[in-house]
Amino acid sequence: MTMDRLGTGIAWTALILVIAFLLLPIVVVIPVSFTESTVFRFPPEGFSLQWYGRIRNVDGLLGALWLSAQIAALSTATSLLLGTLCAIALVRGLVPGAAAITTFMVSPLMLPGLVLGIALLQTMREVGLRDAWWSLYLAHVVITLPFVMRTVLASLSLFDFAMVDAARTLGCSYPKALWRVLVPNILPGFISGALFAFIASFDNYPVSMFLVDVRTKTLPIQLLNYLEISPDPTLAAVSTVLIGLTVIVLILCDRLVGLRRMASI
Amino acid sequence: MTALGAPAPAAQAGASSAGHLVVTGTSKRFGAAVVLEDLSLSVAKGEFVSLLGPSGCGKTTLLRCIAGLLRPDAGRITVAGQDITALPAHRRNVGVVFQNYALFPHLTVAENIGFGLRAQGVSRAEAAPRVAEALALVRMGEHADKPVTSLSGGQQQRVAVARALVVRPSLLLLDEPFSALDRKLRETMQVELKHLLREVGITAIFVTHDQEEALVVSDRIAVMNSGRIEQLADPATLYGRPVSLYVLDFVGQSTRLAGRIVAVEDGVVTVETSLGPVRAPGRFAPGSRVAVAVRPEAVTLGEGVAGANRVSARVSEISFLGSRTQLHLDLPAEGEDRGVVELPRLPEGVQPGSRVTLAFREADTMVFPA
Ligand SMILES: Nc1ncnc2c1ncn2[C@@H]1O[C@H](COP(=O)(O)OP(=O)(O)O)[C@@H](O)[C@H]1O
Ligand SMILES: [Mg+2]
Repeated sequence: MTMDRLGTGIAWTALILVIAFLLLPIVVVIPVSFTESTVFRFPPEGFSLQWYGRIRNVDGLLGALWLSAQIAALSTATSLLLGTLCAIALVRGLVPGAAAITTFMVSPLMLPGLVLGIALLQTMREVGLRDAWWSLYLAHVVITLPFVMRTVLASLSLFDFAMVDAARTLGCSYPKALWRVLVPNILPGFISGALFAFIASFDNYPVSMFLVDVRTKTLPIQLLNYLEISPDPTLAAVSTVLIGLTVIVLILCDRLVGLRRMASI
Repeated sequence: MTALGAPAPAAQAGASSAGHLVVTGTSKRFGAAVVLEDLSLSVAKGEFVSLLGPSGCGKTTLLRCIAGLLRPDAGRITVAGQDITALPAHRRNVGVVFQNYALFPHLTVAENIGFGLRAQGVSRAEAAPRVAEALALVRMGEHADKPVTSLSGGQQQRVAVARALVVRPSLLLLDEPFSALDRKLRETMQVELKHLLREVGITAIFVTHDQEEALVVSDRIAVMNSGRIEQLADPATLYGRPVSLYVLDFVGQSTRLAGRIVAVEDGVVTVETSLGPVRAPGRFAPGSRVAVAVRPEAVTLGEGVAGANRVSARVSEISFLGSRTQLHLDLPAEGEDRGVVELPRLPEGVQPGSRVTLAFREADTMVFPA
């Protein structure tokens, strides 16, 4: 009995400590972004919005933000389309060796980003693709596809394809049936897959590192560069903005399909 | 006939006496497995035909070929004289009620029913009265705005039927529409659905593996056996004149005895069985191995009419079925012999172990090659 209680007590303490460990660094960033001081220090001194103002003035920061958003959005969209089509083929058993192919297609998740980055750099060189934007876009499709595949495959395995057949007999062509019936029914899978994929692309460092050039830098790389030159609270301001955006997106998703449904996929 | 039942213009054009739905020489294989083998079928306008056969005999595959969800390897399918073999599913106007109904869980009852109309470009305003009419037809009016996931099995079936009918298909295919319902509900729904479809005046094909269900819902029954139609006939013919042992066994019960032809005269053969000689109309060469069979209700206890077949056997089991009583006969365990007799009431003194004399008319006795 007492041993039981002791065990539960330890588990509870561990849970609280882990949550604190996960949450504190994020929480600390927010007050620091409002500091008057020019150094990155907690607790913050005074209150000012100067670091938010500086975001606009730091060379290349907004450009990097825009590039990262572009690359993340486009590569995620591409992965959603390709990943869903691939997942349908795999789930419907139209492919011999579907299980092996499935494992292969989600394997970049398990591969160190450095390896992937070097391999992609090599490949782009070989095929003569020098443009940084296109290199990043293609590489990020590789990064995002497994995230989308994993969640879409999970949703599809619960989806009754007789619904697609029903839609077809009611007058929808096959693509239209997918759009009208399959897409709304696996929407939670799409959204959570897309969210993970977007974030994976947005803050990817190890792969992008090999593919950027002087004028085409993604946000994580630009931030780290900046940190090396002037480690001031601008970075905290950028982080706070990103935290805010993430919270807004999560609230929207919750409204749309429910976070619980998304988390269960 | 309601407005729903008005056949689509396409269905009327070119209607021929050859049958509303004509399937000719259709074959389908999956890899090495031949699932449909040179199958032909003709269904008249307004007729209800059941595809009856054990699980895996190709019923769903045939249905999917007719609906355009599968492309047969060979053969031709026409509806109302129009060749639809090469048409994709969405241009065939063939309604399907799927085995588990395949309702759309993200839509309400009314949206499910309106789905086909909207997909075919009917405006929301035009679709609304037709959806309401279909809802009324299946008595689901008050459930219009419910999510389909909240419905009972019977209600889901009604929605599935309404969803398929509202677009005025030229043909309705139903794949084991009652298999998801419990027994009691199944019986009510069978009668209800048959009545409804009659009212609408549609041509329908039911798939089922349940022979009783086939007898209840259809005008004619196609008994399928591994990818072929073994016999297509009205229920009475199927029951009274099965063309093979397979059909005999699949539809209804029977007493069945293996034997050998010992005499042939004037279209009547005499078969030596484990219970003695039995005469039956038929043409076989002397010495052929055959099986004779008689339906349970064609047998009486005692001497029967003059010239009837008579055999004697021991009763092994008696089952009281309410309106009638079933006797099971004690037959040698080897072989496929079996004995089932049904009587309106059990005579005094008959009990398990009793020896009884069974009489059945020569004309009621069937012979099949074994
Ligand atoms: N898409 C498919 N791929 C491979 N085999 C199939 C496919 N569909 C059906 N079959 C096989 O065809 C046979 C008939 O199936 P089906 O038409 O569904 O039978 P039924 O509806 O009479 O139970 C079964 O043996 C089944 O395994
Ligand atoms: Mg089936």
